[in-house]
Amino acid sequence: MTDQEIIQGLKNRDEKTFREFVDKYQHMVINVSNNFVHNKEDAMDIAQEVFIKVYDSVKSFREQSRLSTWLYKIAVNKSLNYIRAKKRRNIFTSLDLIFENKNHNPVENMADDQEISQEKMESEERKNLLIKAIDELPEKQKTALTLNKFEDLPYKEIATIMDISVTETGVLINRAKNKLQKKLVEYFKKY
Amino acid sequence: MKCSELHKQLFSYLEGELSENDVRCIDNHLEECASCRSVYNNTREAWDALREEEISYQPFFYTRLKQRMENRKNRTAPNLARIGRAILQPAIYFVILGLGIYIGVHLGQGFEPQDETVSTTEQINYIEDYAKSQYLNGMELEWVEQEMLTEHQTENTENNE
Repeated sequence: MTDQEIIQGLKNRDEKTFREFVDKYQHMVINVSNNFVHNKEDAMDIAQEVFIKVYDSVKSFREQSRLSTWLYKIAVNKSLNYIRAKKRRNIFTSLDLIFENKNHNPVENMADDQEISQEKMESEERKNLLIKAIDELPEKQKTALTLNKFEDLPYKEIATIMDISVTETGVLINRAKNKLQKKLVEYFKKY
Repeated sequence: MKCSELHKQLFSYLEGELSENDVRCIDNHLEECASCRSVYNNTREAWDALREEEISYQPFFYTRLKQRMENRKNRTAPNLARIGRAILQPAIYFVILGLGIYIGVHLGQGFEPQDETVSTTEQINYIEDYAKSQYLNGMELEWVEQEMLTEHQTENTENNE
């Protein structure tokens, strides 16, 4: 089934088309969300929201961009909204932790009660440090970098998804790379 | 090559975006500098681990999605009723209030205005009568008592006869 047929089927509220559409794109949508939130359950939750959004608003889709680009756009927005909401929640969690006099460090507290090998733990720790460094980047830089380095999207498609120019996309990715390098050198020098 | 120069080109080296000459320079530096080697190895391992992170196809994803859409539908119905009630209830109150005011104004217009001088004189007379009944003059009270006594005495004499 082509994207054109999928869009038409979705506009006609065809159940079979919706199923095919979800089966075709679920892997892409779940993984792009996971590249932003780095949590499987949250990524699945966001992916569901993305498909519901598509189902609700497909009639207003003007087909000026590809279906996959539109899906990326919705997935990125939903993931960023999720991260913003989580940050707000974390402010209150941090306050709770201060009052409970606990030190909340995701890297240090990671897998406290799990019996995993030293090597695997170190590998997880390194990955979490990289995730932390990416999360600390400004939102636009993070989005451009994630889409380019983890989704392997070209600058032109990233520009369409983010509603910016191709030049701006390049600038954002370069800045993100420079900041990330600095942070990682800082982290791994002490490591 | 200085360590700081390598740090600036870390990602480009990692992603294979550098020229052959630059790659050779970095390779040589990494062989000599243990600190930069450690930074590079840790970065590469973390980067590869994150890039390899992939969630496989989820067979029950569609079923869960449909379930969520159904739940949403079921939740939307009572929500609509609640919203409807929240809007309709105050609207009805406003209509009733407006009707009350409208009827009140129109009923008031039905009464003809009274002659103000007549009503004022009547009011004054009424007030005077009321004052009289409220504050009895002592002399008047004595007179009433005398009157009652006389009546009582006359009755007694009549009875004796």
